[in-house]
Amino acid sequence: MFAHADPRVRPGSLIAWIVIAGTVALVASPVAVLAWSLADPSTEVWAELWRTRLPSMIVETVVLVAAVVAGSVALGASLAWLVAAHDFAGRRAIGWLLVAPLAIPGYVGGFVWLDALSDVVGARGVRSLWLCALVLVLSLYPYVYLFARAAFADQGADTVAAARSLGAGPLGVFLRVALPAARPAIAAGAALVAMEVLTDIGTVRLFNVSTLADGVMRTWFGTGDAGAASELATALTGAALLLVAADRLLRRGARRSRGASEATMPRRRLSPAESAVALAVSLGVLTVALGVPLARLVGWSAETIRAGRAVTVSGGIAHHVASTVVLAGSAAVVCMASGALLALAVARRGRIAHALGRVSTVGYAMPGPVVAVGAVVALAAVDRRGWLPDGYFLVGSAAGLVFALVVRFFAVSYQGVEASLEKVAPTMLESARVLGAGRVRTAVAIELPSARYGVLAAAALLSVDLVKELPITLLLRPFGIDTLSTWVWQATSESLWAQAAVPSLVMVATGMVAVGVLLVALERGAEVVS
Amino acid sequence: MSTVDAAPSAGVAPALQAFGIRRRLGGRDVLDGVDLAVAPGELVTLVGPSGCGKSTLLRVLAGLEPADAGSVALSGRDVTTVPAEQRRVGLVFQDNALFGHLRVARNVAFGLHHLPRAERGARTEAMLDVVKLGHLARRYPHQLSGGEQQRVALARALAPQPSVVLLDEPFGALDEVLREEIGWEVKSILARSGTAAVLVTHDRHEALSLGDRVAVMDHGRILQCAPPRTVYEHPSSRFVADFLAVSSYVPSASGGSTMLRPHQMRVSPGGPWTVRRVEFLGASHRYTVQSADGTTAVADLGPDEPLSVGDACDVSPVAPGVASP
Repeated sequence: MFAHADPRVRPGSLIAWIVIAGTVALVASPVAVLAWSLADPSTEVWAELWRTRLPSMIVETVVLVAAVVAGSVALGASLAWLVAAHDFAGRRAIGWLLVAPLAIPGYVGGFVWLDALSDVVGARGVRSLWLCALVLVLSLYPYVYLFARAAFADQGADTVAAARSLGAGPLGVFLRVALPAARPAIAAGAALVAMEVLTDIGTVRLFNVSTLADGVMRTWFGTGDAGAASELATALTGAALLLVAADRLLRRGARRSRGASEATMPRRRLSPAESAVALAVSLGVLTVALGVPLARLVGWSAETIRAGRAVTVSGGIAHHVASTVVLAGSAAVVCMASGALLALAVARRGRIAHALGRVSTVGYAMPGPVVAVGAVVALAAVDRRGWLPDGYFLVGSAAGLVFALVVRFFAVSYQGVEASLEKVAPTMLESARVLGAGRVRTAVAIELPSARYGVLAAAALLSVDLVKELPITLLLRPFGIDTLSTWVWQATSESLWAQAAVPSLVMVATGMVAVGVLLVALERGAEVVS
Repeated sequence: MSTVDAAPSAGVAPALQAFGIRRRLGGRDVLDGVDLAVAPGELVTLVGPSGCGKSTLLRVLAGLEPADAGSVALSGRDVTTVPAEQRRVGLVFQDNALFGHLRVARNVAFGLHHLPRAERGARTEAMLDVVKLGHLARRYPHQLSGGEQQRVALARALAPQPSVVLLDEPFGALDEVLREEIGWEVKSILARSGTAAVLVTHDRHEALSLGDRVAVMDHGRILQCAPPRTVYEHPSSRFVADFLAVSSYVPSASGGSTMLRPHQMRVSPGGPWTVRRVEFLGASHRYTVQSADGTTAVADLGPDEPLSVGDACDVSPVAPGVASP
């Protein structure tokens, strides 16, 4: 008897493809809409932009990105090497604390230092590109630090031992073995840093640096010229795409360097003198990146609360916390649910599905102002067609804002879940199948629980990103709704630092909790995998 | 050529019956017409060099891999087009593939989803008793030793009472001492539960010592499937003979040659042969000797070591041997 039916083909396949196509189309639509507008550039706008601000914007953007990336790589990679390859008193605690500055948005660290330094150098001298870069490095180096530290720790003990036996000293091991092997990871961290700089509007505004993102915001609010804003957004997109290409190039040849059974990187014990230096350096970084901002914020907050000035036109702290929780919370829930669904549909479904899945992550490669402009254009198109009941519009609604936030941060949830699903042993899923579990039960009972730490880490990272998000919220929030981040924005644009302290502090505290969850999830996840 | 000594059947349908299984992967016939029958309660070991197709055969039998041609029946029910989740076969992987986030009892109960809760609990408990792990029911897999994990995997596969359990190199990840012990443990658990099984291995000693019958596979075909003693002493082909153990081929009176296993040969000092190699095997020594025309012979001898490399010697059969295939 001959039978050619493939028992692997399962009834769930069609549904999975519908999920993939639908999610990807929705999430990529704002970017697609912008790409469409690129096909019809308005020459007068470009000529005007080119004559006036565009050249200096490009220069300032490039210089700022380069400076922040260089600084973050230098600081992040060397701190990572210190913590991953050496042993000294307090190493564990410092290793964790060095990630915490991630919870302090650049624009919060920015106004703290602006205030602190203007007493010393005077307000004018402070507003420079270099100080702006420094402040951004202090809040963004943890990306490089996290990636590099994991890569260093993952390098095999045998590789290091081999290098030592071939005559390489500690510095030689770092420069000739560890650093090159960690290059793909460091590049990944650097790409995230660069992306954050491209999307930043709060910090650059504080220091009067005119980047492309700042240009989009000024054009939108200043002239209300959507055309010019979207042309600038396109230029910004070009910069982001260049970055993605550079990242791909640097990550080529990325592979695990440690054998499955090989022990991890051994840590060299530092002498008391060396330990003292290590402690002084890392505590110095922590003081500048974490201690000073926190102390300032606490001081100002106490002052404003005592004076009863912790309010804005929209209401008190309760209003801002509530709207942040509702907006960021619903964006996070939608993001995680749809990201997990897409990751499950894509998992082990071949190259086409993976390629489609990757399309859904374009939003993360787009700076916030770009996504906002794209979302407005896409949502306005829906509104014009009158598909919604009378009197309802997507532009300016909470749903519209949540949609844009999901588009921007979809990659965080999708890629986080997908990466940990890939690590689930195929034999585990086959065992579940043979034991009678269908696609849905396998997903719910085996795949998602096995990937739980990856899911948790993605959710934590997502909440850090969502709570401090500024450009999309500013552009799309419904009338009369203010979040913590827009409060900070309004207060700082009037140079009212103390006014911005309370919302900043709440934001930083939330971020710290999320970063803590992230670290626990990463650590547990590493244990589960090994 | 494919010799299938049909499993002893007394009017009962075989637990597993496969006919003419073919599978082409990457332009190569990984399975080239495989026939296999396993009687209820029987343990067949499937052995062959790596890449011979034994793991692919197991995946086809489980329904994880489609067959290009052929049929699979379980206890008389044709399951060729039935997807894996509805076939009801047991499967044990080399990595055990235990669900790390579930306790031992929940792992074992996973395949009992269709049963009412009370029955599920009772069956799980009974199964854990069969593998003697009742006291570890509340542990997580990573808290168990390698051997215990193996038994949990087996209990999980056996719990839904499949007609056949397929084991894919189940002892590959264990060290040698543990392997033998667990091997016997698994055999006795299978016997106690009365479940038929196919056990894939690349270790010929394991295949010969554990199997009720041994199926020797090469290049996508089963060359011989017979009780261990038969495949060892009466191999159907030169490949089967040489894969299972080393032998000497001595010219016979009829003009052909006779195959003799090392224990069927004797070496004595003085003669036209030369000792080329002496291996200490513990209970015996193995001598590889060579004649002037280059013919080699292998003989196992007791614990004394009367000869060393380079000595002149003579070899003679102590048993009649069989005509070389």
